[in-house]
Amino acid sequence: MPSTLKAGDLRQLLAKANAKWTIDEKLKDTDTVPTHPTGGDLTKFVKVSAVPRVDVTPFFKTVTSNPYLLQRRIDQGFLNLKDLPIELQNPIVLKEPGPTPLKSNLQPIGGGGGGSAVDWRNRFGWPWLTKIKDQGGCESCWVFSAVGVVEAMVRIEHTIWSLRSEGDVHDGLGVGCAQTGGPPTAFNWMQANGVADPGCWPYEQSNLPYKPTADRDGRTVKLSGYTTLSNIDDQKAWIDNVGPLSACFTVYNDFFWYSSGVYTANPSTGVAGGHCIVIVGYDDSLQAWLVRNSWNTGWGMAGYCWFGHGQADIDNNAKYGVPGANVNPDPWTKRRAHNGSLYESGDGQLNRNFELWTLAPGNAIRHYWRDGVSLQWSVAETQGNDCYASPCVTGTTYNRNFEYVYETTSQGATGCRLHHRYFDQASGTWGDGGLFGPQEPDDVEGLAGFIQGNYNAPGNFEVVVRTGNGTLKHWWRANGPGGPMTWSQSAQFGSDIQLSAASLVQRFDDGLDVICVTAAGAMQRYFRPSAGAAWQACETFARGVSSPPVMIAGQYGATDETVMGNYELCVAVDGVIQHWWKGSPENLASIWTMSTTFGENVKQVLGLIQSSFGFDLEVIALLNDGTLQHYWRYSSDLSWHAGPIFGSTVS
Amino acid sequence: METITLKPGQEHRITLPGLGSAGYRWMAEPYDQNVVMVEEILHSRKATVPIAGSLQQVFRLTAVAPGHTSVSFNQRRRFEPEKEPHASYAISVAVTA
Repeated sequence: MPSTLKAGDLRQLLAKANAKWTIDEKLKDTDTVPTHPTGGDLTKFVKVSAVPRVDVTPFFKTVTSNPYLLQRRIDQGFLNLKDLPIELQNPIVLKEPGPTPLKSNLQPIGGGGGGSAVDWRNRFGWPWLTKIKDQGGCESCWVFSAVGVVEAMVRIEHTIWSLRSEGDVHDGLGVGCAQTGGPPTAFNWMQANGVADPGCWPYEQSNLPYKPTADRDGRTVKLSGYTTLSNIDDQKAWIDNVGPLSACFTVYNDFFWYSSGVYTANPSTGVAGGHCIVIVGYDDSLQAWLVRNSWNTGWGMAGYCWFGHGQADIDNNAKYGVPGANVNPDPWTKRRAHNGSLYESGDGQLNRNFELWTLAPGNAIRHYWRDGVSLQWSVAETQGNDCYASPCVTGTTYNRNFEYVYETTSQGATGCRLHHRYFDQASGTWGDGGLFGPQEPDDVEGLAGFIQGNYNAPGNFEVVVRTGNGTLKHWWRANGPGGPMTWSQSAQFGSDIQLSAASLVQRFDDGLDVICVTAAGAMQRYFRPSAGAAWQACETFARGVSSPPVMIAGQYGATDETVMGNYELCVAVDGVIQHWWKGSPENLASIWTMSTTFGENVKQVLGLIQSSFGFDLEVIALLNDGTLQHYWRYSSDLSWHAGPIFGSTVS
Repeated sequence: METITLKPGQEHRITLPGLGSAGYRWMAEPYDQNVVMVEEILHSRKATVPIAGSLQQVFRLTAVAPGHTSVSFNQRRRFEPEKEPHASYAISVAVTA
């Protein structure tokens, strides 16, 4: 039924209901609220006969952040290796695992199909799918199907786990537990509103009124569109070259009994209803799709099923995919994957620009950025006049703002302090969060570790910094609803500390870890298990260290979204960069290991991230002459490479 | 509990809300088959199927011989036998001559 609702009326309804979202801003109040482009009743199956075939090759000719998929597209002739920036030529060293290497036999339009088998549960040696979920007793499979695709695409395109909440979409749509719908309804809502994490609004079956946390915008993966596919060859090629698909089929009663093998529907058992799932692979030798269900792990093969081609109308209905460039992860998802002065923002064509803030002449801060496609560094703005050392940056759930904290120059009677500044994404302007921190006689003398943590929503800010008397001080800003948003000191701990660093990381269990450099030139970890608990001195490692390290929690070791990845640490020692790593912080048996050294004339490591470029580590180093240099480590062979020297902190 | 009285050979239909799209099925628990027979009336392929919704389940009770029994239906996932039913329904059946 065509909509007659006017955009202005809907805006008023949403405002009256205190909704956290609104409709497309391009619509005038007098415009009619549009229906879905496929038209029709979205509670009914969209038949392939009703969907025009799209040319999928342009999607495959697009550069992807995922080096393994880049390799696939090069192998099949969609992309030319020589056209890519040198940093993206990493895939040439990659090898397709498995017994049936995929060849360039793809003919996306007019027949052929993809390679012989794809399984996104474990492909290219990495896991790509979150743990199997359970829709429970609600008819919400259509939401699980659509959200499952978005969640997988963030992992595939940005190589980071990003658990999403089906409840955010389901309840945001305002549908009840017993209401049905189709994947386009869920995709359309995510396109307008994004999809948040369960901590913002969880999936429940109790029809609670939708009240996500106030910082929802900074916790949403954004989606800029999806594609409807009608042709099986295109669908297989999509799964091979892009990622999973959302699909729906008719549930026959024998489907409940599936436990292994290839499912072949027996219509004589009767129809139970319709159902939507995620197709996460296929196998030509089995003539089957690999289906991810949302009935928990007790069903099928631990929640998965080989579903015969053409069975139960699965190929009579349209399927839906999300191009990799169309997902933009939120700062909350990436909060442990960066530290120091370097940050991968969601800006740029592929949502993977780098942002860097360093000290500049006149005690200013200069903002550099690297375009995520051309990989060229440029200078943005330079501002301020009280910066003593390069800031520690993060992206926060406050509207995805950039925020940083730095040690100031002497503030006269109060000595050096900490300064908080933020870039307001809504207005596009910088704001001043003010000065805070110790005052004489124990003023700030060190780099600040700065993060947005798990306590409250929006999460509190946490800062750990060295003071003049060789101890560490922990400061925090209460950000929760009604919080004063003022900085407070929570603890003073440690002794004989030489350097503090951009090394503060929050664990999955909310504990805080921070690494400092001792007066003896070793690195030492301090740990606070929970809010209000005392900081504990932990292991020491390395020696001869006289510059501050940078530490993140990466994706290596994160076997699924519930397992925290390894700690990765880079520090400059005697002009070269040492890379250290330690297994999951919850793994007490794991010890710090130095993997390698790289670089030359390095004075200090300023920033470290695990980027969207296929689990690569990226480092920005300050060289002895004041210039900056980018280094990166390929995930394929763990080799470090020197990138361009650019910018300067002294001119 | 609802109670119905039937004569031998007489039928009674029970319609229960389906939840097949979530993996749940209504199933009759053991009952006295000397008194009544329970049989599900299956939907054929021609049924109008909602895209992500479930069809109702319809059961036909046929009186066999005089007596009394109750028939319990539990809605559960067959692959989660250890869990409590999602929903339950019971009916008392008296068959008189």
